[in-house]
Amino acid sequence: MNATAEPFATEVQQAFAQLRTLLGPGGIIADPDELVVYECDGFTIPRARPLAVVFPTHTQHVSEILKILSRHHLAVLPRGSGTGLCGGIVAVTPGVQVSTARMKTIHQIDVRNRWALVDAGVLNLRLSDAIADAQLHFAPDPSSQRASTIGGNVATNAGGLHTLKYGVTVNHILGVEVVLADGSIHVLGGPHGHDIGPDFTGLICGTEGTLALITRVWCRLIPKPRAFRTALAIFDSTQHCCQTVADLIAAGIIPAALEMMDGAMIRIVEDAFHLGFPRSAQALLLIEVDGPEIGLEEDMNHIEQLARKNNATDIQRGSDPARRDALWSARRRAFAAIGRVSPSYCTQDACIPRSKLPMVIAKIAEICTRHHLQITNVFHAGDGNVHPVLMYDENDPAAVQRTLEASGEILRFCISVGGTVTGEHGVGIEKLPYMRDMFSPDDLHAMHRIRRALVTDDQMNPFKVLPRDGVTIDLEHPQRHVPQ
Amino acid sequence: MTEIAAQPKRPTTPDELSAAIAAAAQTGTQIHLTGSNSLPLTRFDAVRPVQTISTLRMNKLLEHAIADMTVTVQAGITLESLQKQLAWHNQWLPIDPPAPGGRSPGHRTIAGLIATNSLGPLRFGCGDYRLLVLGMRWVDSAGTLIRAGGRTVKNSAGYQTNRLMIGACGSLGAIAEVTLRTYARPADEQCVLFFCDSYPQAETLLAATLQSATVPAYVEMIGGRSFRANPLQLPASPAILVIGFLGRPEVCTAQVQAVRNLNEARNIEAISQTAAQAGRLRLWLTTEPAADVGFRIHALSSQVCPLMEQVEALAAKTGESWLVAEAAAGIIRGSVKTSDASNFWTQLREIARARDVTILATQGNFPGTPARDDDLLRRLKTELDPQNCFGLPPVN
Repeated sequence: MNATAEPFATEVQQAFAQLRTLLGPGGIIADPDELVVYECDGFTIPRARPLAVVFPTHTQHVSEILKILSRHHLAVLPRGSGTGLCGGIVAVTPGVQVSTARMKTIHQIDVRNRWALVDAGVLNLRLSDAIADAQLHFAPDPSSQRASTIGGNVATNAGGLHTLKYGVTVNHILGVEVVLADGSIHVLGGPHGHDIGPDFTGLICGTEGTLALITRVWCRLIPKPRAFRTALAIFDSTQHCCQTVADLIAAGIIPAALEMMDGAMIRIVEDAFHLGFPRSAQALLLIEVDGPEIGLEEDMNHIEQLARKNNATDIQRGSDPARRDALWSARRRAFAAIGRVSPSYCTQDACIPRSKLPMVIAKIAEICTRHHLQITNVFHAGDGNVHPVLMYDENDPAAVQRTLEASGEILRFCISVGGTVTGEHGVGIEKLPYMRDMFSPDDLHAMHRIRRALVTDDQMNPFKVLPRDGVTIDLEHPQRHVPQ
Repeated sequence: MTEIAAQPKRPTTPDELSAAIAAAAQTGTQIHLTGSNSLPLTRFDAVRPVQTISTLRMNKLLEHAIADMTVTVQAGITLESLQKQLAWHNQWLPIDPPAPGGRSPGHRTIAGLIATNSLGPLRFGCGDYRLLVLGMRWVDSAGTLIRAGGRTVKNSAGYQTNRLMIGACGSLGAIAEVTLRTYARPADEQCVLFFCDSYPQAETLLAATLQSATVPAYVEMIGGRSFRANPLQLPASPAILVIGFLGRPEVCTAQVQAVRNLNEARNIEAISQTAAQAGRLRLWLTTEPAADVGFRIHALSSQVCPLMEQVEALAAKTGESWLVAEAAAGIIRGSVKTSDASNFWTQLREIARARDVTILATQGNFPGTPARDDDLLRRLKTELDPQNCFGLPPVN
């Protein structure tokens, strides 16, 4: 990429002129003051303003935009709603964010065959709302679902509260329309889903905009569960709570959702939402089973048995829809509630074998104590997808440093017990250093080769997901250490 | 004329597989990967030599993390062997793939099943390989062993190249090991058969079932002519809809009753089947007789009935036929014995083209539906298999 000042500035201005012609003046933001809000995603440590943000409204726009950016050697930074949690949209190298915010049409809904075709910028919950009357829904339900886009969900292979039973985003994607860096448009899969030939749709899911920009998605729709039972199991020990989770999985029980909160998070959520959680509890499990009405009580009986075997001090069961909504709403807003007690926080996203949960939670606590960090846990226990929340003050450089060090220790430990550094948030730039702990040079080289096959000039969200030899990205100054 | 190397290689470990592929690659020899060879789909260049590499001796179960509900196996372990070993701990893989040509599906290898994306009736209720495959080790065309995915049920780290291998028919690499998620064996299986007077009646009932509150594990449609050979010796009707459930006995019973109580089911003769019979029937539905032409059509669920009616009419003019569909998933499988296979295939392919559905030959050497977009395959083949040692998958 040509980055010497004057010719580069000329390239940029030429590109901007062409983009304005294509999109109109309202289709591009290039004022540095207005770009502040685009300098990071939900992971607020690394910040770097893009050169501009552009707003296509349809696939052909995207194709033309990518051709323009390619001609002028500018990086393409795909952006949904910016709710990512690993710095995936940060401009570590000069580039233009291509936002799908104005690509928000639901093109087709086929209730009989249970699929919908949507623009990448359609918000996750909006699709489920659109098909609710047909007793269908789009199953991936990340906590961000009111704000995150389906394209963004696909790009990160987003998870959510109900992935234990229903799977992650890739399990609900029949096909995608994508634009490659050269502007070519490709349809992968479709309403029929994947049959024979390599599963390209499956590959694209989770590549975080580094291979292609997703413009449309064929979503698989599944029936809304007709009945449910929700339970709260209270524990006076996180270890007992974790063991309950391990025992449930080992017994072959698959609840629709199985979420854990530790004592600190219980108090934070209770202070924010007043749900009647016991403030003295050290841990709780939020459990849901769903499906046909018959059998749900028996399912819950079995779960309660295992919880009591692990010294649950109280179990509250119910089927009241209002109570259910309140509990899940509180769970989804738990992270936001942390803002009442800490100016900043950083959450990790490792996923570990479920049998290791008691050991890993204990180790996380020990690491954070050693680094003098306040921590709380709220996570998808049934998947083994831990979310330790490390609280810090971003205006305290020492605290930032301790947070990053503790995060690294946690991730490396999770890898050592057979886990992965990210269950659902993605790698972005945050977890780049740990990819070499997970994968060998040959493994990473294979991924780079795939990228090379589809991205000829390295424009697609460069320096994300895959580490590169000789490149270190300083999270606090993400534009400084990338070789030009 | 393709020259095949005299001795197939039979590695027993991923390292041996890696070495065998590397040796072939050094001379530009094409590599014909085989497991049980029940679905040979890959196409090779007729003028270059071919080295057969069989994974049947790579048949070990490497690790069964019982409490984590995951299992790691070598590529050549057969489905039957794996299911037996999982059953010791009351676990299983919820897959029931077909085996064209009258062969036993249990003898198919895990890697072969994944590479051909072969699934059966349980696909609808229990998921596909994207859900079941957690990680993999595979060997590229230079013989390099590569890890993809992991051993946890969620994983967003890096590119999931394991997914690229699903359905690729070995055209991008050779699967060496696989980590899969397992499930508790269901306590019971029950099904109900509806003997429909016509395919339109069957479609009405199918649509109503999918809209109902029931949660079927499988929904199969079978043509009347094909059903006459059923192992339960039940009478046939023009179209038979089989709706099956897995789970606790009382839950299965309630769901069977719920389906039978649907308005659309009221005037249709129905018979319920319990565990042993239901399972036997389901597995019979995956058995595709040996024939001159075998095919798999990939359509939408709502297209199944009209397509089956059309294909059945075509097959009736031709010879003995077999026609069954995963009606909810939109997959139609069939086979025909005929002295004019080529003509039959041409007409079948035209039906598929007119309906905008894809078709694949599972018996007989016939071209499937052209790929809608083969540019990505071409780019990846150029990068990952520049000498085209692994051949091409059955899309044009």
